[in-house]
Amino acid sequence: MKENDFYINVNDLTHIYETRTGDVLALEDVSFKVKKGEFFVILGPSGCGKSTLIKILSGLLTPTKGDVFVNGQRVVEPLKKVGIVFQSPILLKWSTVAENILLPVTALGLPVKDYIDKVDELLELVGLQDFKDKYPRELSGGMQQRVSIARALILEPDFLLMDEPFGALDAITRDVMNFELLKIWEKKNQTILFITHSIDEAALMADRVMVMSPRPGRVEYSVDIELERPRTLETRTTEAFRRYVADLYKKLDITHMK
Amino acid sequence: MIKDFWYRYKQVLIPLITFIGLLVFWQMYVIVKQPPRFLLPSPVDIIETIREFGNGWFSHVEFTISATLLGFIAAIVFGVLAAIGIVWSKTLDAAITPILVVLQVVPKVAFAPLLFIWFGIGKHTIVIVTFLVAFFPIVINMTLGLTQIEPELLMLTRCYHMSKFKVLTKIRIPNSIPNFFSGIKVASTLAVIGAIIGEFVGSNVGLGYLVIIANNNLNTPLAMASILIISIFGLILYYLMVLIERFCMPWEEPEPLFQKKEEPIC
Repeated sequence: MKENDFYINVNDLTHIYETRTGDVLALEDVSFKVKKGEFFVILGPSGCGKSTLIKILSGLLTPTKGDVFVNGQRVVEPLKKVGIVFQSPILLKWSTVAENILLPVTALGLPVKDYIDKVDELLELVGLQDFKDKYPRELSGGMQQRVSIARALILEPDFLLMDEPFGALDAITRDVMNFELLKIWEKKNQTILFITHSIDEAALMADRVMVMSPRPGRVEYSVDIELERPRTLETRTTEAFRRYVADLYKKLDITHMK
Repeated sequence: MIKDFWYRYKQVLIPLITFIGLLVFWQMYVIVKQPPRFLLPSPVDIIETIREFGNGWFSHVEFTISATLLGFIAAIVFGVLAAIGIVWSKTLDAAITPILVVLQVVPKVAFAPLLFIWFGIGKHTIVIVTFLVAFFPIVINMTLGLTQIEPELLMLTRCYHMSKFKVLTKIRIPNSIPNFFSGIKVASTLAVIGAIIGEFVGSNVGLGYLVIIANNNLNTPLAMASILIISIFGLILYYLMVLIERFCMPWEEPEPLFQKKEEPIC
């Protein structure tokens, strides 16, 4: 595959934080490529530099070395059209669900009336049509996170950056949200960079998994997950799935022993 | 039926009954022990005194209330402006904050006489004292509310290239509204105290002035009556703030004034 067949190109990212107690190497020679419409999972424990990686990928931080190309363009400043979903929903509690989804629009000074229909469309996509005028405090954690996803999608972003978006939810809701997200992805086919430290989640959702190891953060291993789509509850019981999971477990273990 | 009534209103009924009980006990004690009036007047004495004083109250009550409110409102306006200034500019922060701390640390009782020497005796100086007392909690709480924002939210604002001003108006200020009201509630009680202190030091009218005069003349019923009226005013002002807070935050779960149905412990 030629270089420009990839939608996102990350080349030799290295980042050093200068602190009072000395330099901290957060990322070391991180390189990877993501295809358009791919569900790309970054799997790694805490300390693998993922916050740094997120800030660099969204243009909020300039790396000490290396660069990022999105759709052929070098990332040099905060990307307006990246949709970020964090571990906590980060909604404005004084605004309604609809107003929260429109935050990127009002923040960028774009005309709200152009996006009203899109809000309704997204509410339907995430299953919250009846909650348009409710306040965040009236929603459960999973529902708030769905609003956060809708907000990330309002500007039709180049790609979605998701940092352990379901990590704060209980196990059952997390499962529900996993399949919800896959449904949304199958409809919209966004390019998704999904960060997690759940091996099961990674194998279930991903087209491709990249394993990172911590201190400093570096790429340990990458593998294509060639399981049939759509992925279902049955997928998790198949032999192939369990082999992928076992394989990923082993790869993560090795990095801990280093 | 009575049981339901009790459950619903017991949060208000219990203190009310306790209070009435204490009043009754107090009244009985005075009737039985007959202490001298200047030492311990009875509740009835105090009510009598209030009635006797009649129209005389008006000028004093009006003075204290207006001085308190003027100082309080000034504290709100300048408190909010100062907080916004501190958050907007690091230079302003470095310049203002030490002065604020000094203002807070110096006891106003010690400071007040100086103020009267500098600004002259009169209502305006009392308003200044009130202002100084109520100002600090408002600034502190407001500043907290303006800055206590999740880092991820600030990340989002940077992604959307939001200007500093936009972040202030769309994010910081709405975020600070609960803290604003915390500050105001505290400041309202302090404002009343400030006005009274001001009157103690340099006034010839007002409820605080009355307390001093009454004490000097051993007119304990009058002193206690004045204190009672001051307390009532303070209470009303405080709960007025609580009401306004409820009105301004439709997105918050309001704290129930009366207890709802008894909830089982899971």
